[in-house]
Amino acid sequence: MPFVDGKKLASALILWDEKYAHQPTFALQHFLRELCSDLEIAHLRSRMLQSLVSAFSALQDNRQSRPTPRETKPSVIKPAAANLKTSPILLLFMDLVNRLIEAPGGDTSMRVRLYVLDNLEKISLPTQERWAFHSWLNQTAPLTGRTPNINIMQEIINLAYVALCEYLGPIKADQILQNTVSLVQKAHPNTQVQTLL
Amino acid sequence: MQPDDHAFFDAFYAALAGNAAALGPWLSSPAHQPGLNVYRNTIASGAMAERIHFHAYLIGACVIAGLIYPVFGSWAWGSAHGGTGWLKELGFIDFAGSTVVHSIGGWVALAGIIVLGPRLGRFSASGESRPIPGHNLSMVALGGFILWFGWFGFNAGSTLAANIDIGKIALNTHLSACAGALGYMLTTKVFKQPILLTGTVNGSLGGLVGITAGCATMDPQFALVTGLISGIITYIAPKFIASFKIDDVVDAVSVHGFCGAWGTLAAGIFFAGDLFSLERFSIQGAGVLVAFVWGFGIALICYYLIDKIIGMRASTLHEQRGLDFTEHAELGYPEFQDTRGLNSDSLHSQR
Repeated sequence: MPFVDGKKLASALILWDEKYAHQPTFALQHFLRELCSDLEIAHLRSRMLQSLVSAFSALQDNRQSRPTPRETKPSVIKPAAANLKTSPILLLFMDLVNRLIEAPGGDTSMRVRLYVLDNLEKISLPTQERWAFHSWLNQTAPLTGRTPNINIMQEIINLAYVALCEYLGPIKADQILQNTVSLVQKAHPNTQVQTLL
Repeated sequence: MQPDDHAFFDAFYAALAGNAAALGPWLSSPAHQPGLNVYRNTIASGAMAERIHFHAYLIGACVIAGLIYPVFGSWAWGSAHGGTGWLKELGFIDFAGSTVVHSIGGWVALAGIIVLGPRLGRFSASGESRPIPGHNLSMVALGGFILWFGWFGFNAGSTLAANIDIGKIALNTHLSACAGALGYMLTTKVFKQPILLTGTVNGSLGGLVGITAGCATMDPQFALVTGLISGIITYIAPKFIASFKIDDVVDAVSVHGFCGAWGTLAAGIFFAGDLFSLERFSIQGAGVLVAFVWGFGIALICYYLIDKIIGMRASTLHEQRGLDFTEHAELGYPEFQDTRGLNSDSLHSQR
């Protein structure tokens, strides 16, 4: 039997996606606390937690048992294959941000990604676009459709740069930015990468 | 002691009162006082570099030049009202401006960098300091030599007359600069650190700043001591400031603020013919304290208001692009920077 009705479930999913999806696993408790602030379902909190944990565990087991294609790194989405209508500047943008985030490697890459996700709220965006960026940065969906305003793309690239400065220092961040820009320009010779900086 | 150093303030006041005759002393040294004023503003600019809006800096410079410096200058060097400054009356010694020029500049810079905050990534979340080295060591050395050379005009020129004192002043200036560099190098060896060219230049500048107050009133052997201790300060003070996560790009607060304060105290301690006088030391200490309260206090209020009203800090996007382009639409390093896609007109509209 479901804990909440369809409308509440949709709002719970929005709350999860906007605020908790990119946080560490213990954020699940915070998510439920916020969700159960409504007294109607407060008494179901512990059962909801059990259900969610078992659902996540099942999902994890399922993922582990499924063979992973070698050519697809889990952290990188290939948007070109996902949607052929994606504009060249958007492809360039996605490639640049992905490479910037992946450049440090290991935990630092994860922290850079979380920093960008956390600070996405500071950028003024339409809800639909914010969702799209969230999903893309969460690596759950590629960024497709309408090309965002160039200023927004510049701000998101800047968020990645600021995160690199914070976690690696400005010297390293400048080196990564410079190297990444060169690599991306080689990969996309027909689009001027400098327009995004 | 500068006999007519209140000339600037007198002239300022006289101009307000429409008294053209009183402009005489000021016009007799048309380059000197404005030169000091310009110098004081450059101290703050170095500390706040790479993240301040140019217009915010200019407004701050007007406050320094129009209020902070003339008022403290009148206290230490003269008076606006035909009498003499109250610090000068007490016996405060600051021949060419260790406090009036340098400490004040250093404290103003300190206020500015506190309001501005550090550059992106200058300190890690755990507080670890991440130095951002200068881009051209030859330029650093050349700048240091130009300043060293200019200091002979600065200190010796402060006699405002060609007389026999100039020789001793120039000698003291030179000895203190040498001792400053030596003091820095010896301290780095004591702490088993490499001797940096930038640090050595700052050590010599610290020596120059330190001797500025007492260059006319102390014997050469004490100029050496003053410079040596200034050099030590230029090694220790930047680390002390960085421990508070304060980002001083060129160590201006250490070199000008701290060494200026030390030099002013040294002018009292090593006063020729009255060495180690507690009374002189107390008066010098009072002057140093007043300079800090006045310079830092007014500058902090001023920069805080500028920040709240028009904004002082450049955006992170501008820091990424470099302020040479975003603030001035010029390229500081065209041989490295690739800004084919950057449009200066659109940048202007984004400000």
